[in-house]
Amino acid sequence: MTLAELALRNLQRRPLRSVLSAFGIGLAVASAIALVALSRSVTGSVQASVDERGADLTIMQRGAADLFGGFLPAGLGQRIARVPGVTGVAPELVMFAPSEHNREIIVTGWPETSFFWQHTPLAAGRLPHSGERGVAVVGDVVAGALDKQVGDRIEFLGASFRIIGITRYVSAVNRGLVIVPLADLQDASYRANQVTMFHVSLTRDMAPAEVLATRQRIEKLGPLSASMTSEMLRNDRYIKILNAISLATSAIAVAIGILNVLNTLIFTIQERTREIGILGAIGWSRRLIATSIVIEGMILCIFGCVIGVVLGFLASYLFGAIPVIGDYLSFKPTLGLIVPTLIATMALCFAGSLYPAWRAIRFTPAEALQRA
Amino acid sequence: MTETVSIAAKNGTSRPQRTPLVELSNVSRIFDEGAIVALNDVDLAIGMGECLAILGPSGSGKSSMINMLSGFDVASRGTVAWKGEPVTTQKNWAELRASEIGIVFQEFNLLPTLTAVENVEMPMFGHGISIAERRRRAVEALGMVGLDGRLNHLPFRLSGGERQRVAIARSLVNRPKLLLADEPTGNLDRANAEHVADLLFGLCARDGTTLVLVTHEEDLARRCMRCVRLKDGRIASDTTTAANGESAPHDAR
Repeated sequence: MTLAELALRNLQRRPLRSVLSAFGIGLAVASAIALVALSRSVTGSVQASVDERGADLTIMQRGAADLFGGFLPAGLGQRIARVPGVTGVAPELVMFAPSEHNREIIVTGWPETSFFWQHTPLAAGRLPHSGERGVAVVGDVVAGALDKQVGDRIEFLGASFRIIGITRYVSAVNRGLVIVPLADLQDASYRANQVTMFHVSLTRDMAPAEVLATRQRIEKLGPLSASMTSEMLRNDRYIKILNAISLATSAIAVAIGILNVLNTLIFTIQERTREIGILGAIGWSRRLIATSIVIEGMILCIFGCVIGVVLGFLASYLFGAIPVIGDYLSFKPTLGLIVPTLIATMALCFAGSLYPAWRAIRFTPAEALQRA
Repeated sequence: MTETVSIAAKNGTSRPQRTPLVELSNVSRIFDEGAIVALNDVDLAIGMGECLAILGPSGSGKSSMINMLSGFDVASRGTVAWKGEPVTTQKNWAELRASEIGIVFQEFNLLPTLTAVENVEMPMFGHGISIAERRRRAVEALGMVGLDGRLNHLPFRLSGGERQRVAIARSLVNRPKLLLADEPTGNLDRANAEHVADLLFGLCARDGTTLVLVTHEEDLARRCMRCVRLKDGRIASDTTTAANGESAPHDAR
């Protein structure tokens, strides 16, 4: 018999309480994984969508509070195109818009010259002809969600568009995208000659130093920030808030889970005061008794973590089934997210087990045997 | 530790007197700020290989005496020495209980979730003994008390006598120098009590283990060569029974 087996045997004496405590930890871990994964998925999904369209840099208004918060003159694109190293400029006006069935969709406007069109994969229909207005190309997910096919009409912002194509992008954001001619979206949203951002493609195999120099040259054109796609949400207000909320909620959930373990261990120790006295009486050192209590706590924690990871994945699938999330986000808990969460939980569990362990060894054997 | 040897001849026989195995010097145990004096300025030296019975009515201090001899409790005044060295910390007492002192309780005090053999393994935890070796020694100890066939029984599936035999095996598994038995037959019927007593005396005699037996049974106490009677927390008498059956005051030198 080992200390771990002894701890397991003790936990099995009150199976319901042990299972509920492990579930407490599990729910905490699952909440942490799901919430942090959710916030990270926003960043990852947006980056994946821009990468998939072939952009290297994204030019936004400096100080814009969020991704959709930039107001840039469309004419700026020509000046950006003249910067050495820039091979293509794709202006984009993008916004959330309420559509049919009260569904929020992401609508984006591209000019016919945008290099994005070259990277647009079609599942059905076609892309707009030169100068064609009042048409839309929709992502397969949003088409499915709104039950639309080529030839149907889609309405938003008080305007009606004929669907001429359905895309088959890979990234979640792009699959939920409704693309219309830039001029149509500017008209519909009263943002004439304005775009939200520019996406830029650069010369192939450009060295990092050259990329940096190109970014600096672009930023000298005005109050702009030129970011790699991986950096573009770094200063996004909503992402910051989401990250903060996720972290705070996760911390609260984990704290509640740890308190649960603490509570269980304290009850366990109160019930087993006599047994702890017996262990002391037969020569167990205080350190050994304390270690056995901490091992009990850690076993509860390990079970909780396993439950948490499983629940975390289940939650990610459930979140994915929620239209407002699943339509736009690729929601996947990754190893890089799970491992730090589990390490933090285990560390807190260890700390949380120390107090009950101290309570267990504070009596002499005589006191422990008399108290029982 | 050095061993001192002297000659005592108080009862007409010469016998070696060594440094006591355990010794209480002016030990008092006081509770509730002096309202209860469980032990009052007690001196008691117990030599290696002795068999000593502690008798006395309820409240006379028997349990407190066992608590002092085992380090279960801390003396309010006085010192407890092991082989001449004062034992002052709980850590030292835990080390002694782990290797030198075995305990048998009236209530058996087995861990209810563990089988007989697992209970006997418990005192060997934390001493770097391998799992296999722990198991081997535990099985051997249970064999000594005649419980080979009950290794994997949980305590609630054992009779009172069997439980106490498991407790004896547990107390002896580390081959202690001192075995403290607190009313070991108090919860047993006559037949089981005799069996357990025979085991205790037999195993201690075989291994030269010092036995301190707290009991209220005169018959059991008479099997010990030395008898200490307590009254109101003090030693009322301390007698040694010679081989011819005659009792004489114990030579404390």
